Amino acid sequence: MSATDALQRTLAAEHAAIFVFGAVGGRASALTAPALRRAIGTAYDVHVTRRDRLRALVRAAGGDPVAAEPAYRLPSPLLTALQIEAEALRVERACATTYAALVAETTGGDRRWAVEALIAVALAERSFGGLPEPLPGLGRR
Amino acid sequence: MSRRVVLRAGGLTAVAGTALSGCDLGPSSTSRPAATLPPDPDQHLVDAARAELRGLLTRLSATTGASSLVACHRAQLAALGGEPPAATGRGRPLTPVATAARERRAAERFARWAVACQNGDLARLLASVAAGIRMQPVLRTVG
Repeated sequence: MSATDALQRTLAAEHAAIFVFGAVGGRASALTAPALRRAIGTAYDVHVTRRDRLRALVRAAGGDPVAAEPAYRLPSPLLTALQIEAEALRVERACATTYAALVAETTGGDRRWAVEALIAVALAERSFGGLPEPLPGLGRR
Repeated sequence: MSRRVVLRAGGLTAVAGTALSGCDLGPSSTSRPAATLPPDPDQHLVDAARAELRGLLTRLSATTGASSLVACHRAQLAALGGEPPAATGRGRPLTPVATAARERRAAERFARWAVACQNGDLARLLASVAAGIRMQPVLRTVG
């Protein structure tokens, strides 16, 4: 996989994350769980910022940034705070795996950014009930 | 033979993305084993990473309430192909503030080594160690 392919794959993951956080944010607004609503709002903004950065990186690498899909499959039911939190955690873990892969495929400043993103995503997992793990992004062992 | 990735650095074995194909060479292959391999450009980083974790384990093993950190670093050291220190519990214990400072410094070092190394799979592993340290509760509450 080339660095551009890895950037595109990460961009695709961020498109999906933004969709999911937008959707679960809407669901969470109906709940009395202010901490969860805040965490989802923060996560949404962070993923949008990373998506924009990834688009710029793909363009800088001479690529055409991959577009978002019209929609993404959400788990059902997605009604309670626990269900919403679990889905948010799943998305953050998936992003951690994607950023770890991006670290492997990039060098220099792009890799530095990918390392920082991996760390940030690992920390974000804690906002959604994620427990500390020794090697986030490398898969559960 | 399992197709686990073998990172050359320090004989490091790790589960990672792609597989090497050296074991696919057949008897008709004209390739000859090199008499001596060139020096691994990442070896010093692997050595430093293992030493960092071993140092943490020595101090944390003597520190009350650090068992989850010890387990974390043992897993990370194993992923780096390192052996834990033989005699644990002999280091001087760390205060909570000192533990947080040591852990934060270690996370910064691993992140820096991830950027510096040449092997992508090793970079992924080092970055994951940095992220794993940053996830620990000790860094959640202290500066």
